Amino acid sequence: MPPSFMRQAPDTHSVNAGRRACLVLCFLVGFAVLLFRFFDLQVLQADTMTERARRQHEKTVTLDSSRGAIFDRQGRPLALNRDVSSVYATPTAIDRPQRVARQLAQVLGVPRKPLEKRLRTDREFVWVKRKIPDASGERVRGLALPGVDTLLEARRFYPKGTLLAHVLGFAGIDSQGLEGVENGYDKHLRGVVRRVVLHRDALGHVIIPEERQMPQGLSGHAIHLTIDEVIQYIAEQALERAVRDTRARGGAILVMDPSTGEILAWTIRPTFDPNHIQRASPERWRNRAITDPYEPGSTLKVFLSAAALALNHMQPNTLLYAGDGEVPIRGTVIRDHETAGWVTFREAVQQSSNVAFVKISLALGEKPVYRFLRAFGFGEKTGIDLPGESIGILRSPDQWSRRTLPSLAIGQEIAVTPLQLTTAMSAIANQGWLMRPFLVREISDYQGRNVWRQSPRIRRRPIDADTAHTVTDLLVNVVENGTGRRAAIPGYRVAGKTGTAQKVDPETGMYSSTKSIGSFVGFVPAEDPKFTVLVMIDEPQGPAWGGVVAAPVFREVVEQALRYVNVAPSREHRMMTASKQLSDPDGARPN
Amino acid sequence: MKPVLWTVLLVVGLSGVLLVYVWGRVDVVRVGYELDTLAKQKVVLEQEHDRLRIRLSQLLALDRIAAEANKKLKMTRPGPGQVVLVPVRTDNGMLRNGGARPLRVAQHTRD
Repeated sequence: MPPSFMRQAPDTHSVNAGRRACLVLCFLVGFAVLLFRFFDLQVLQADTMTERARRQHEKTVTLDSSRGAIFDRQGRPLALNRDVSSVYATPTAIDRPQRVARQLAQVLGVPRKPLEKRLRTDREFVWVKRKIPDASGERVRGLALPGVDTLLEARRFYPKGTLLAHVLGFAGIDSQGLEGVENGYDKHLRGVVRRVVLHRDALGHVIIPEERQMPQGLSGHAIHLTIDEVIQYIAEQALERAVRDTRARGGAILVMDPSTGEILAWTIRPTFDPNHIQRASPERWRNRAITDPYEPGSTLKVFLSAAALALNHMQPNTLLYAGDGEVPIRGTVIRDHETAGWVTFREAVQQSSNVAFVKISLALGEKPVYRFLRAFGFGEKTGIDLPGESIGILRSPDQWSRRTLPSLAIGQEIAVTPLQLTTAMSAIANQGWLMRPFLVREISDYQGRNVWRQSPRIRRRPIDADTAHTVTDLLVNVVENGTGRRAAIPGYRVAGKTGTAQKVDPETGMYSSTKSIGSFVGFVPAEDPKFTVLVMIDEPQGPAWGGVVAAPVFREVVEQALRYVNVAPSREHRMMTASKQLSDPDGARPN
Repeated sequence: MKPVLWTVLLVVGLSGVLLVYVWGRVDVVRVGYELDTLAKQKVVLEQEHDRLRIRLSQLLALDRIAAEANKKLKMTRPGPGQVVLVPVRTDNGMLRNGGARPLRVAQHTRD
């Protein structure tokens, strides 16, 4: 047998080496595959994989901030927040939109068809109804409708209802300020919405918050107003009664601290409840004390008197001839209520003589009158920290007709806002210093730390202290002996002036004989004023004289407010009271 | 024996370090869960606080108190002459009669 056909024993060593090589090759190929996969995952798909891991382990949460609260000057809350339920739906998860819409419409009182239309869309999220009452939220959750759920949202609450409604304003459905302080200070009240990343486990539970602290949304700042809730309540009650009793179209009362410009009360009728804003028309929301100027009538004589005294045209005892009670002016006649004859300047103010003031204004001249009215802040914004303030109407002398100056003498051809008039009267009370009125005295953060404080700001000084004192004496005389007697308060020296202004009939463009505004503006105690108060009654039925419809309201407000802030009557009054008690055994005695 | 001993010690030491590290991580996660639970409780309590605060504020509204005083307690506003002002005694027993000084207000009611 040739050797080539001889069966040879296999070379076991080489076979094993081949197997080993094969195995090594397999491992190498395997490792190469793994290495390639590793490279693919770690390098080529690094971004995608990182993103996928992040989505699995991290949870981004939006932390809504809470809108800051609003307090009065004593820290009593006027606007607060509360979490309430909002109902939303996932239309793609709803099988029977018609049935779901019908059930939701019954519980929530929303129109069924529009709701059904929204539920038939292929969106992932639609609102059904937001910020609903707790009971409705419970009922919705009780229905356990597939694709319908609730979440919590902060809702603004005004616990005092209509109190101070025009100043507070209101916030919208997304907690954005829309009117009043809510609007004017929105950037402070609105907090900061934050998004934070939390780590979670396979079940979705939060493992550990970011930075090992439970993060919070940054709440908005709290606002502390200059308003005092008690004085506000006193003013609201008095105005409500006055408007009801006189069957007036509306009215306003403003109370100011004349030495600082702080607003203590601000009430307007008709009013509205900011908790139910949809029930009131925008006409009612309007803050008419700053948006609606009106002709001030005889209350403007206060500032003409100040001008006449400051320019030494008049002294309290200067004699004036008020004639037989009327003065012809360019085709019209300005009349007095009663024939005055010869009167002193003091008596002219006391009787609010139109004829005397026409003569005084003509003697002063156009430019000085205009200059003083501007100096008292008419025709410009007061600078109050509320949006929407009007400048009123005060044209410059080059736009005046020859009837303008005599008309100004009786408070016509000029329009002022109630706030302008109150601020100007406060300048008389404040020794001639005209202050900038303000409503917010302090802003603090959610932990109560003060972040900003308002300081009283002087605008200018239209008259000096002596002139202011003389005007004050004239105004005290108005209340003690003149048209403002119904504003007198026993024991206190009250300074004030009445005003009755005819309104312009929008249909005829002429002064109406039936529609007028009765007002009274004054301050008390005259020797050290604590309050400047303006009362304005719009279109009262029956007698519309300011001294009849507004002065008693002034007295009602001030009498209670003085007692509330512990301002004592003058010493003479206490002596008078004591002697009255001695002579009147049935009279009141101290307990 | 020596290298074996050193190896064992090294392994035990490393295991101990790893154990401490893992224990710390687990504890942090446990505290994280507790924090999450507490945070949820806090939210619930804050909601209750807000609700009660609003309710308190509504109950303290002056018009409500005035109506309650009028209806339940039959309280009325003092009429003319029913409110009298009395001087305040100072700490040394003297009477104060200053114009703008605080006063006590006393109410005299008739039967």
